[in-house]
Amino acid sequence: MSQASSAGDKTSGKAPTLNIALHTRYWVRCLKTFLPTGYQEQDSSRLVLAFFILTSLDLLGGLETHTTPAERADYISFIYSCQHPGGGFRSFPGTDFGLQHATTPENARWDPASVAGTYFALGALAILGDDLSRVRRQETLDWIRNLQHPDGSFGDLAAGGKNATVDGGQDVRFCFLAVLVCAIVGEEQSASEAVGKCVDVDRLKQFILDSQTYDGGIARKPNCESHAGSTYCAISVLKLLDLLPTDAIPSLAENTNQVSPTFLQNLLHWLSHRQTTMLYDYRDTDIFDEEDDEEDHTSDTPGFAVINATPALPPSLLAFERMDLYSSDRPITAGLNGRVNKPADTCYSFWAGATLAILGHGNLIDRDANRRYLLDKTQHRIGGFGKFPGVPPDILHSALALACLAIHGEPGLKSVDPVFCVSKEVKARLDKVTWKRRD
Amino acid sequence: MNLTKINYEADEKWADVVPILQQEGENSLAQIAYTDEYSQATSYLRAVMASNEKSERAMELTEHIINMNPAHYTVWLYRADIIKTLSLNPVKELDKLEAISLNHPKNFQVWGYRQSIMSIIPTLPPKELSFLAKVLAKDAKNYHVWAYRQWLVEYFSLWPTSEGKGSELFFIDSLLTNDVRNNSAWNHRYFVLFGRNVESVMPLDIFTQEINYAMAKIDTAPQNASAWNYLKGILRKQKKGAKEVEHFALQYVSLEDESKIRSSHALDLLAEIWAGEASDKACQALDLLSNKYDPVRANYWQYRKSLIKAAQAA
Ligand SMILES: [Zn+2]
Repeated sequence: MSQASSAGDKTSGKAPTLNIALHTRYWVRCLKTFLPTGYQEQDSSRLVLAFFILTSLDLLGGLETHTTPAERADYISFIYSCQHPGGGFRSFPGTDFGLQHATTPENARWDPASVAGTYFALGALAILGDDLSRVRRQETLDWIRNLQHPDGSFGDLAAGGKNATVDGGQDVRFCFLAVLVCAIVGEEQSASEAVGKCVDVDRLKQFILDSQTYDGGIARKPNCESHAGSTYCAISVLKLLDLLPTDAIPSLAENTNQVSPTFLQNLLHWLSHRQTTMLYDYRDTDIFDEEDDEEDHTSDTPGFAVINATPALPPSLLAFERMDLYSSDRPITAGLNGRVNKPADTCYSFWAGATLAILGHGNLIDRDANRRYLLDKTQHRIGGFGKFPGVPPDILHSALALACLAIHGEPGLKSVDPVFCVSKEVKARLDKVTWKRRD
Repeated sequence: MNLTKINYEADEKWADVVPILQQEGENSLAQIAYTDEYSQATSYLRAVMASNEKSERAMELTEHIINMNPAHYTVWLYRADIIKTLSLNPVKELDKLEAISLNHPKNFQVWGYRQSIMSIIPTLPPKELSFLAKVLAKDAKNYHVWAYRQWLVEYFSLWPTSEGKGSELFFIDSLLTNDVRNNSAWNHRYFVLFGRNVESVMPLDIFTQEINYAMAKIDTAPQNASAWNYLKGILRKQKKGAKEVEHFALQYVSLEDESKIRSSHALDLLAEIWAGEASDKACQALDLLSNKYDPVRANYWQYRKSLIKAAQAA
C-alpha cells in the first residue's frame, strides 16, 4: 500500500503510533469549520455528529485547550435550542417550526424529539461541562415511557406527551439509547433502578434475548441477521440492567435473573470470530463495483449510524478457501467485521471490541493485530480514520477508532466508558448530576 | 419531471407560502455547508409541515428533499401521511420508489417507508419479489432489504411449502449457489424454516433435511463459517447435541496427521463435541487452533481450554 494515505509507519518495522497532534487538528477542524456538503445526507444526525466530535476531542485531551469558555457556552446553548418542549431533544434543528409557528395536534408529529438526539445531546452537554440543569427531566421520562412498544422494543420518534404518536421501532439501537437516557435522567443512582422505574424491563430483556440468533450474535430485532452494532447495543442494555454475570468462568450458581451461560458462550464465540485478516483496499479499484463506493459512508438511521452495509465481496477475496497460517516472524494485522463473512471495517473494532470489554473479555481478540489494523491501515495522513484502508476519514469511523484504542489503553488518550462512549471523567459527571439521590 | 433545480421563491405556485428559515446561532455544532437548493427546499418544507398541508405540491417538495437527503426522517413520515390523506394509489408510489431505492439502497428510511406503503396494499404486488431480487443483485447482503423481506414473508405469509420455483427456499438456494458465504441468505433460510411462531407446521424430518443441506454446502467450502454456524444452529435447535456430526467433522481434521486438517471450524466443533468425555483431545484441538490454524483467536481458544479445566476441577 502507498505511504501517501496512511499515517502509520510500516516500512521501518517500528511499532505504529497514534499521532495525537494530527488527530487533534482533524477534530478541531470538524468542530470549527463547516463540514463539507457531503455531510448534508447526515443533516438529521447533527447532534450525533456533534457528540462524536466533542467526545473525540475530549479523549484526545484537547477540548479545553482548543475552545474558549465563550465558545463552549455557545455550543451548550445550541444543544439546548434542540430540546423539545415535550421532553427529549431533536437530533437536528431542521424540524423546528420556530417561535412564530404554534405547535398544534395536527403538526406535532412533524417535529418530534428523537431518542438518538436525546442521548447524544445529554452526552455532549456533559462533555462540555454543563450541569444538565436545564433538561426537562420529568417530560423526558414520560416521553421515554411512551416510546416503548408492547413487545418491549422502543420507537425512536415522538413529539412529547404521554399519548403522542410513536414512529419507528423494533430496533435494539433505540432500546440502547432509551436506556442510556433513563439512566442519566432518572433520579435513582443505579442505572438498573432508574430504568426499571421508567420502562418495562422484563419485556425489554425478552426482546433482546429473542434477538440472539442461531449463531450466537445479536440482531437488530428477532430473526434478523446477527450484527456487531446491534450486539453492542444489546449487551450495553443488559449491562446497565445488571443482567450480565461478573465471573469470567461462569459458575453453576448463576443469579437466575441473569443471562444463561449458554447465551454467553455462544455470544463470546461469535464476538471473538469478528476479528479477521480479510481486509480490502479501496485503491484496488479493479476489484470494486464502482456503484458501491458512494453509499457507504452515509449514516443510515435517524441519528445513529450503526448498520453499515458493505459492498459484496469482490471475487478475488472470495477465493478464501484456505486457513490463514501465519509464520511467527510476521505480525498479524487483523481488524474486526460486523457480520460473518464480511471484511474488516474500522467501526467494528469498536462495536465488537467494546462489547467484549463490557463483558469483561476485552482480551479475547488480538489487540495488537487490531491496533495495527487501525494505525497502519485505516489511520489517515490528514488525521482521522477511514472505514476501510485507503478511504478518507469520516466522523463516525474516526471517533469509533479512537474510542476503541482508548478502551485498549492507548497512550495519550483518556480512558473511556465503553457503554456511554465518553471519557471516564465525563461519565463521573453524569453519575453526579444534582438530581441523583444519594443513598 | 426534473426536480433538481426548483426555485420555490420564483415559482408562483409557491407564492402564498412564507418559508421558515432554519434557526441556529453563530457557534452551533456540526454545521454543514448546505447547498442553497437544500436550504431553500427545507425552509418550504417546514412551512408546509407547520400548516400540515397535504397536497400535490407538498408531495413534489418531499420528493425533492428525499433526493437531496434520503435520511431526513420526518419527510418520509409526512409523505406517507399525504398518500393516506389524499388516498393516492400506493402501487403507483411503489413504482416511484424504485429509482430512489436503487440509488440509495443502504438508506434506512426508504425501507421503513416501503413497509408503511405496502401495509395499505391488500395483496402482494406481482412485481415486488422481482424488484427485491434486483436490489439484492446489487448487494446480496443489504441488511435493510433482508429485514424488509422478513416482514414481507410474515405479512403476506410467504412461508415456503416446497422448494419449488418461486418459493423462498428456491430463492435462497440460488443465492447460496452463487455465493455460499452469503451469511444473510443463510440467516433468511433459518428464518423461513424456523422463524414462524407456529412450530407444529414443520415437517418432522426438517432437522435431518437441514443438517444434510448444511453438510453438503460445507463440503464445497470447508472454511466457510456461515455454513458451520448454520449446522451448529440446527443441532442446537434440535436439542440433541453435536455428537451425530462428529464423523462428518472428522473428514476435515486429523489429530494424527496434521496435513489432513482442512478446516479450523471443524476443529472448533470437534473441540466442543469432545469437551465433556474426551477433554484431552479437545484441548489438543484448541491448542492446534491457537498455535497454528487460527492464531488470531489464540486468546479465545485458550479461554475455551480454561472452561474445560474449570469443569474438570468442579
Ligand atoms: Zn463502519
